[in-house]
Amino acid sequence: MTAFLARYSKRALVIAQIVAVFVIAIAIALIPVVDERSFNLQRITFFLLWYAILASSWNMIGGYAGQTSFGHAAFLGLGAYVTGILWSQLKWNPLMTLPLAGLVAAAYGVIVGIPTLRLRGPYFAIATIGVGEATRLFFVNFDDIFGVTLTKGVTGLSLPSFDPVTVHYATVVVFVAVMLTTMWVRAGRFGLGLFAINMDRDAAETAGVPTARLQVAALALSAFFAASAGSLYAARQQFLDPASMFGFDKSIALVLMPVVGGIGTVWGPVFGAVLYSAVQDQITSIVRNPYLPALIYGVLLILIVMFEPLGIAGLLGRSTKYARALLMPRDGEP
Amino acid sequence: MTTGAPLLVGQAVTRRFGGLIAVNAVDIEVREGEIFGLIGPNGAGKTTLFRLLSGIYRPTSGSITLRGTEIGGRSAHAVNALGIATTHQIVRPFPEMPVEKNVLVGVLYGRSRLRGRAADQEVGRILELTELVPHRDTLGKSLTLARRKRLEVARALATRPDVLLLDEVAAGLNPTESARMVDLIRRVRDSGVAIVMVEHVMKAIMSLSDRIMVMDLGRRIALGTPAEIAKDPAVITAYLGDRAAAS
Repeated sequence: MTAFLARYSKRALVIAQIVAVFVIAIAIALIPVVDERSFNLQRITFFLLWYAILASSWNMIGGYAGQTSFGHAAFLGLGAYVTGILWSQLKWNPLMTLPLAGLVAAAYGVIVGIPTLRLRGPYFAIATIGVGEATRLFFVNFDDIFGVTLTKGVTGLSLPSFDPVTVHYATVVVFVAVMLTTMWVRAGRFGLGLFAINMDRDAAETAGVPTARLQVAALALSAFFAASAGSLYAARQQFLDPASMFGFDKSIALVLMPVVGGIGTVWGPVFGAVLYSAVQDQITSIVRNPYLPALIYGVLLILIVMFEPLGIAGLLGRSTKYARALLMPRDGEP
Repeated sequence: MTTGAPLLVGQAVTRRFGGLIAVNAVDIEVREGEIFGLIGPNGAGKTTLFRLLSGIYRPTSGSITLRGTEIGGRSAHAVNALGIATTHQIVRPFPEMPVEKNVLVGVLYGRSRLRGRAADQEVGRILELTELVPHRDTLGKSLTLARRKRLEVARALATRPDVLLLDEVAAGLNPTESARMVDLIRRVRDSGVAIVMVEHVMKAIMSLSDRIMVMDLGRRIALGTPAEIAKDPAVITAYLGDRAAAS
């Protein structure tokens, strides 16, 4: 009987979360329908979802698999440039190239992951810094290396214009996809294996978990969604340059959001993205000091690491029993 | 249960570490359905042999086969997929996972190929066998040592092995807990899993084993039933010295 109840409430939790994802998605999708001229709100919600997609994608490798990547901007930028080049050169619809950009980044994730994911402790994190910087430099010098004019190096790549409302809808779709994927990973066999690796890689191996394969798969999946965010950015902003796409500060932001929001949880990265885009957007527009958001974020990070390892999800999750089950589930549960 | 056909066979297994020969041309044959004990003084090479059998080490020379398939040089999960499960001498449950999820990892990634409800039922069956049902929701890190050791056995069993390698599962347990572990190991054997165990708790290994192999200085010095081993002069010499064997 208790097993039946446990199963039922588990199911109820999954349904509640799926409903929450769709409520958020539909609400944001309706913004341009309700008010065509709500440009500012559209921009704010685009970046909100965009950061949420990035934070959730990072969470798959950094949270679930416990491998902290400090070079995730490599995948973001790669996706952006795949879309940008195909669009500017071949006039391929940028949103149609989104899956392709994701697959290219996933393949890059496999290539990078096979050697680096063998590393234990902090060495994977250090290696990813190298990967991020090497990828940035590759794109800075891309045209010189191949003797072409595709990326225009540090000056940046201007793209033809594209309807931002279409991008808005596409972003909502990708957000739903990333949330459903992250829930599916967390609740299933794949996620259980990742959590096991995260806790004790040797014990996971002897329990039959193919640790190397699983971690590489997690990195590839994570890279896919990070790159799809890159595609969305290219379509929406219509300008790409290596510093803003591959910059180390972008990689750091991708770590900060899930950590502040609640690492390894489904909703933590979303909370982190909300906070990050709010701090980024609102504080700078009020005080006009470009360094203040970084300072605020730094202080928040220290407080969270010291007092609440599960971040905002942990803070909210301790309020009620239901919130606890919803926001800070134990590992291997949805 | 009568013991059957050869299952896990090592021939002239040798492992060197630099100038040291930790395991020197050892032959070993574990048969289906038996409990095979491995004993010897400290430094005899038991743990090294054990790690060779579990695929953690690759033999310098010689071969180790499970039902004819060479296991040397495979990664730990691949050895597990062949049907050899190991427990760790220092218990390593997944600390932040409840007991049932610990076992579920073994079920989902082991050889049973069970999914969903069938996998949950299998977890229930293993928790019952290992007497962990009351603790199924307890986190791995909150268990007592005796329960951690049983969980270690449960997680290994969950992968549906043909051979279970137990590394000192009775060490550090009090007599009651140790007796319970002995009962568990018997139940596991009766369910059709062959067992190789390294143990310092003599009472446990003498009462459980069908056959015991004694190692000293990297070599096999005796092999036989517990009664034969206890009388063997070479064994007495290895443990107690020459004069004890002579008297």
